[in-house]
Amino acid sequence: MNQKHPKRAAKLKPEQVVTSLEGNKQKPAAATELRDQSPKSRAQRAHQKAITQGLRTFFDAVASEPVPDEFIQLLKKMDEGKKDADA
Amino acid sequence: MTHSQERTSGHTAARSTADADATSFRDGLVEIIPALRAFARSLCGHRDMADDLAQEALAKAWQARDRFQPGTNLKAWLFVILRNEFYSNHRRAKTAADYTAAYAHNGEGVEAEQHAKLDLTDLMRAFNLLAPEQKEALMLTASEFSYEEAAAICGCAVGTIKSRVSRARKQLQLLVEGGGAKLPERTDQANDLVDALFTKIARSDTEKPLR
Repeated sequence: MNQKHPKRAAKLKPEQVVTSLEGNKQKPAAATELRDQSPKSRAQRAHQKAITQGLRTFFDAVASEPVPDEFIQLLKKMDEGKKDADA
Repeated sequence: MTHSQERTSGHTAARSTADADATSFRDGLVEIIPALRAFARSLCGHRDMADDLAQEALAKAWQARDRFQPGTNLKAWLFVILRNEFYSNHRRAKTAADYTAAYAHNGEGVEAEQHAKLDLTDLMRAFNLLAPEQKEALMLTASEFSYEEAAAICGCAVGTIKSRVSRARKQLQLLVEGGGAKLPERTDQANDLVDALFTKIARSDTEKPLR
């Protein structure tokens, strides 16, 4: 995977190869990082995951609240309406 | 919940089938109420408004039950009704104004991993500032729906949902970074979103800690 991207970049933009090769001298994973903009994007992904989990926590929190009485009343009305229709 | 009568009734076969359909439809609605309330709260923020909206949607769904095709996704169908109610009944001018005010500023992306630990209170205050289209896209996909299902519910293309989710996440990120300093003053609406979290904490101390 690490070998693949510099090659692909070479076909597109020579200046990107220079960047990635320079990166390679410092860190073997530089080519991947060039594509992913890591570690910034890794942090970003972690953050986005946290956002999604946070929203889910909220959703679950509301969904686990006891259903308010008005809803029960509404359902009762529906049931009565159904019986009326049958009669 | 007594549905004993539809089995023993002496109605015609057609009528008892209709009864059974109505009963299973009604039971389906009951199951979905919690999620419907959560979706409504996400959209309008205010608890009482949200519950009114959810009840309107339930009543509409009940009236329109003949149009529901058994075997299709009842929850998605209800969510469509709810969001139609939301968009037709609720003025969007205020939300649009909040939205514009919230994004008058701009910021850098988040760098440090530590920012991944969100303050949920800040998150929900920030969430409340998003445009409704972004709220629904985010909440639908964060809860349980796929991008495809969310697109079907919102009546738009899958790509549209994806880009709304992506943009909304970035905006949330901007708003909550730096300890929520970019968030405006608390509002009643945001507090209702936040209250839901605290109620949850109070009720279940033993569950997974909120971070």
